[in-house]
Amino acid sequence: MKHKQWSYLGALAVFVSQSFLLTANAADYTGGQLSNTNITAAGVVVPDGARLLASQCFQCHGTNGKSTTGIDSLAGESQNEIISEMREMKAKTKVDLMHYQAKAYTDAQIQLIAAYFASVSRGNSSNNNHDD
Amino acid sequence: MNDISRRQFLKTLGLSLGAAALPISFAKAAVRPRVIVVGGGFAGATTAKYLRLWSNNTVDVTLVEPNAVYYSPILSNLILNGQKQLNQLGFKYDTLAQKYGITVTRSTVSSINSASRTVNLANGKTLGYERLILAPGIQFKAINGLDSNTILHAWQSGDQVQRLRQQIQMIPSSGTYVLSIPKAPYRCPPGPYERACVVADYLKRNKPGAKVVVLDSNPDITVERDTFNAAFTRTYAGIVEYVPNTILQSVDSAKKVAVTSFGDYRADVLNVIPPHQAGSIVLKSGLGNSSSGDWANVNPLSYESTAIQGIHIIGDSQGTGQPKAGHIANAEAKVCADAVLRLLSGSQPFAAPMTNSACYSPISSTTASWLTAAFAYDPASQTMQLVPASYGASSGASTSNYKKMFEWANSLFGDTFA
Repeated sequence: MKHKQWSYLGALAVFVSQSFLLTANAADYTGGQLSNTNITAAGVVVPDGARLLASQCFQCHGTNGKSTTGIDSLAGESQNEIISEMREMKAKTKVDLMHYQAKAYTDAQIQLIAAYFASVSRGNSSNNNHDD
Repeated sequence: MNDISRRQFLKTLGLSLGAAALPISFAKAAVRPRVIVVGGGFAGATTAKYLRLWSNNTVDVTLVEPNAVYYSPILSNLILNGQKQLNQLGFKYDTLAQKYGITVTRSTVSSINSASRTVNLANGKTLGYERLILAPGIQFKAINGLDSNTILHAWQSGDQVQRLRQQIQMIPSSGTYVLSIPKAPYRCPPGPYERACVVADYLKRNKPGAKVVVLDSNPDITVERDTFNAAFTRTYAGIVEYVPNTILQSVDSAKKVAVTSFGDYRADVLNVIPPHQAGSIVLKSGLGNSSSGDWANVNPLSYESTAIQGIHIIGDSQGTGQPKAGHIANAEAKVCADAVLRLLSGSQPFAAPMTNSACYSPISSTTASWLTAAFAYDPASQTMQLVPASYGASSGASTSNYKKMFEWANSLFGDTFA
């Protein structure tokens, strides 16, 4: 995850991808409530379910994708970067824990998860719970 | 809830006021939604945290937990071979209270009144709720003759693990440690085999000639068979004896004898992990409606009980068939928290949730293995189903996995308690 230039486009990618996801991938979600949306820590609106799906990465990659250990942070990575990494891991036959985890997710789900992490700022203000 | 707080609540959930077609259950309520979470383990602590985080503090959350400190069962086997101290695995609720504004009440729930949506606490107080989330973990079933105060289980961490460590340190050279494993489902599938390995590691280094006897109620090693079989037959050859299909029938607690379907096993240290069932508040509230009567059936989209509306059960007490362990309890907690916030706003739970399980197991004081799986909601059966391609394990144990084990555990501890 070293392609820094993508991070500047992260926020833009969310808005572009959002409309795409809501239409193109609607069929991938059986009965999904696609009229709903979630707001991320950074206040960015992401498609329905994106935050919940992405939160399944938090156990290892930290709350909101901000790691507090040696495991990679995902917050602020570009959507494309996360998508290509997940696709790469899905294709791997080498035995690594994340290679198995990646295989659990469809391309549509990976796009939602990636959209979420791209929308979260990298900074340490990981909590949106003091600003109301 | 007044108009302004309702607007803020909906806005926080990403639901616009324009979505007037949605029934808003709190439109006329005068107060903020109240959610009570019972039990401060991995499931309960995570739900409480994410209910606050994801509602932008517009939901009042009370965490009811009797203990001031939670001792993690994860990594606790490392106390047995001297690689961890109990106090390194303790978590207070101060961060959840201060950083997230969760009301932490040190008590237990003595009864639930689902009609009036109130719970009675052992401290005499009565609390009202719009949604109640139960995460009490497990309780043990009785075994004839078993005195769990002397024949330890050490399966809920804390003092019992410390005492089991002391018992093992007192084993004479050429003494015997006997471990009884209950039938699945039990908490932490690799845990008992992991325990056999780290005790063997300690005995190998400190008590030459001492033995580990594993009495497994199950027909075979339930998970990571290759890894644990290699550990038992090679790493700890001549130390570990593995005996499958051995059902514990009774215990002579004074003489430290396990009476089994395969005869009697006398031990210097007898460690009995009794069969499990859902926490007592779940069963005594009429929520244990799985076919065995031991677990709570829930809708896996929200973890709401199929027996009583408004009550959700997460973690080891629920009966979805997902493994009973801390990492996936955290995963279920997020699905539950997200669903509860949607339900409070009159919306429906997300229809395609995923959960995952991952765990590292120490095999010695320098090596570890791992196991992982993901689960997806299957709308046809309305159950969580294992995604077969996601189910895998490390090829044996390694020193690099030992290091990764602590990264994994510390990350999980942080996402749950900090």
